[in-house]
Amino acid sequence: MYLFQEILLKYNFSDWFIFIAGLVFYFILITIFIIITVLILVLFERKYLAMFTRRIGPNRTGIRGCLQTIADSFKLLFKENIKPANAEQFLYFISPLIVFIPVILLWLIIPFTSESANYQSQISSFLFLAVLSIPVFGVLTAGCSSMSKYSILGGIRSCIQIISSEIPVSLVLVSVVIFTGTLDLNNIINFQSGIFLNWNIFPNILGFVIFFICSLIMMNRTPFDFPESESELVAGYHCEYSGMKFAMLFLAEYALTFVICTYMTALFMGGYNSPVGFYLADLFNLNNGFDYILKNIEQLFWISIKTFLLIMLIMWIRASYPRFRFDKTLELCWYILIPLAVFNLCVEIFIKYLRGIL
Amino acid sequence: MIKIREVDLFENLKRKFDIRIENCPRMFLDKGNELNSVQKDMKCIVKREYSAFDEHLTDDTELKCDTELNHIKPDIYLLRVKKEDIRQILRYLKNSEEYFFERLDCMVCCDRKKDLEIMYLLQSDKYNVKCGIRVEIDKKENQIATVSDIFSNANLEEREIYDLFGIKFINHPDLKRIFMPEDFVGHPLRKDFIIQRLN
Amino acid sequence: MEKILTDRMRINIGPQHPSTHGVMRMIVDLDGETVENVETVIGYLHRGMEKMAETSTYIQYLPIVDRIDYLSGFFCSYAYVNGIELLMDIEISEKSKYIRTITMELNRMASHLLWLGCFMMDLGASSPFFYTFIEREKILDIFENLTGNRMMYNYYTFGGVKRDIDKENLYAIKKFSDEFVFALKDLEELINYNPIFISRTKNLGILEKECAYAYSITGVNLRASGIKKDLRKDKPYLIYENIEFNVPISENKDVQARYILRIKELKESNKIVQQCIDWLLTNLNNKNIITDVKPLTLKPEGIAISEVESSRGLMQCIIYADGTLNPYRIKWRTPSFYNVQIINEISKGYLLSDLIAIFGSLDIIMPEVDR
Repeated sequence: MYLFQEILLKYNFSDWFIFIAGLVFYFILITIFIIITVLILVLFERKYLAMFTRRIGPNRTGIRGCLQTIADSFKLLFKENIKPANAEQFLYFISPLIVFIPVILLWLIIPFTSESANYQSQISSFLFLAVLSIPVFGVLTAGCSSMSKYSILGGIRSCIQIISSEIPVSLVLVSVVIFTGTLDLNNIINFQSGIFLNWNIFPNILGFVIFFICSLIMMNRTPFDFPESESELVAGYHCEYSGMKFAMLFLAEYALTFVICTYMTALFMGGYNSPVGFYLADLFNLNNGFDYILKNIEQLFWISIKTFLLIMLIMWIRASYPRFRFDKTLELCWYILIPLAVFNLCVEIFIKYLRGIL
Repeated sequence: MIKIREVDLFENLKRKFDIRIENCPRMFLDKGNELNSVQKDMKCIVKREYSAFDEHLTDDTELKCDTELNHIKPDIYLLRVKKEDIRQILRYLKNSEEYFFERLDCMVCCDRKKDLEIMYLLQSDKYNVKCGIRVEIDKKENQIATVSDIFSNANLEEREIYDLFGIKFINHPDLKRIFMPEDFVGHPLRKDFIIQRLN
Repeated sequence: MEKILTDRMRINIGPQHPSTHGVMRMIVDLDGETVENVETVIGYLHRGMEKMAETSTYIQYLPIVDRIDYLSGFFCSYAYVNGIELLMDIEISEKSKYIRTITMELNRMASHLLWLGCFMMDLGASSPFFYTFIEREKILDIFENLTGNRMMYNYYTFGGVKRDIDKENLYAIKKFSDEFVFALKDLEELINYNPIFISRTKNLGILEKECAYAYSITGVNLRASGIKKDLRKDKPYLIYENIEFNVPISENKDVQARYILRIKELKESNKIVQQCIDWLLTNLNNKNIITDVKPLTLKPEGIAISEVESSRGLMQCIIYADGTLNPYRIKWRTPSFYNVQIINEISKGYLLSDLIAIFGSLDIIMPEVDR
């Protein structure tokens, strides 16, 4: 983004125009990045799950099936746009947007590299959690505005699940923030620079586990995909959606997966820092104005690897476990995870105190 | 498995109700492999009764399936009872200690051309004995009492028989068609409901 | 605190199920989340099998019989053929008895494997579905080599079987049965001790003994309630007297007990298959598989009741024969018809997602119910 702004400076535009142009440019870049990531992620999931079940997965479209998601999106694009007569038209139309747009906003908050043009603020980790609560409204309105028994059931269940899983997440965030001493995501990542023993996961392994389980709940993933696969008994909140609106809901889920995993790596696994303490790109001294590009690429590489490791773990769990029952999920959140998160908070304070002494 | 005593199994039942034993398994016969007197009497009674309806029959005529089928494999007990007594008989057979037929395996309905016939197949796990109880139902007043409060699985069976044969069961909790659509006219498994085979 | 009045909600779990139970409709009355009443509507798959018998000859009806329960084609076929053989007093040879036994036990294994895959799919785990279907494919390949068809076999006939079983088939069955033990161990390790699975299936859908007797339930559902009743042991048919096998029972009456019993039955069937293979391999020169019966002009007379212990329970075929070329009446007593009736009894008071687990554990197949 700064590159773009430097190019624009040469043409004598006014300052605020350059500022807004930079933001718009970054927004477009991120949207393209989201779309590419989701394309890769959908295909990756199908091929990866096929590996667990001794199958091949999609292999007809493109070389070894790499154009499968594009074919899927074309199919969804050309489907008929159904408007149920019973539904509340305005809410029905706007609910996929309420689900999808906050997810894009989430991508704007996370720092992907040390010099990325994300929205910087002193409370960015907390801002992330706050924006994460907005898609819940979208799910609720999507379910209720479809005005069919099953989607109302599905929407309410999904909503309750996500709400009950947000509390342990906030408690774990408090414990991480106490340990690192700052709410700003950039500073949290800088705190973990150096070798990988500096990562936040080591003093806070219990918090990582709690965060991981709650993120599975928030993403409506197996073993907690009760609202989604309610399509076994009754259909979930997206049963009345078809065509592009369904594609938007679907896209939002995968984008949310990626961005929550990135957030987890930023909090616990060091973000874009390399685990060995120095960057390979520093060895090449290019000595022109653009030597930070290699470093950025390498940081992107590190954050992608860590995020993909977490995503592979999530999909591995999907292939192995049956589904939780709905009331057992709520029992898990309220009776087990919240006390554990409080306990973890106390442990973290104690460790910080010890660290202060030593 | 408890061995059953080798006398006429339904002696007590015969004293209380009006039943006819149509087949007595050979293993319960007194001497060797000969028909005992009960069976011989029974064959004569049957033939004489039916010849009263049909002048062409004589005492020596072999009866075909339109009217009579008593040769059963494997050898099990076959009884014929009156349709008014069926509930009492079944309740007695189910609860009494000497018989203890606790399971109704199946209810088979057959359209013999002059009337309809239901066979209740009972099974006793304690004594490992099977027994078939046959009831005749007239085609004009085709009703019979239900047994779904004695054996619970008779509920769906009777609905099936109503659907496919048209017999109404008195006091059945929910008598409606089960296989055919609700507005179907006719009863498919009757012999006058003709379907054509294409080859 | 006074009780908040809530209305009952009526939900329709429609004839089209995403889970592969066939076409059946359940009308469920829900009070909040708990199931109060389940009404089952059947009849969507009625094909008129019993009426078809009255216009065909005995040999023309034989290929249709496999389709009464397409997952246990050999059992239905055996019930019908055995009935006719009882009526005509036909003795079948020893080798055809062994061939019939081994094909029926392999069919039982295939049916249980499909049940296992679909049951786990209902609960949400999608991987065991593929693992069981790999094993099932091996069995279906064996059947294809033997009879020419993967599911509707048309292999038994009056007096014996149609084709002999040759050496390559026997070695293929032996290889499959040796490897099956390890495949089953893999599946058990994946599923049995999984805490999510245990919490989903324990103490669910309790079937009491009186209820089982009242509704005439047979098969695994009865044995999971503690009653030891298996036709292969009580009235042994074919060659079950000469073969050593156990009949597993369980005292817990819940969904998990039925699951465990079916896994044990798979192991027992494997044992039976291995013993039959040993006998067949030593009697390869015996070519006597069929007794000549002249099937096209069969005219049996009398009533026949022939029963067989199929993979879902006790199956009976009741034939009324009147001495002409066509049967007079054929009635099928199929086990799933009675399993459908107990859904209402055993799922009261549980949640809606438990209803699916209970329904899956009863192993109901719709073509059997509707005929």
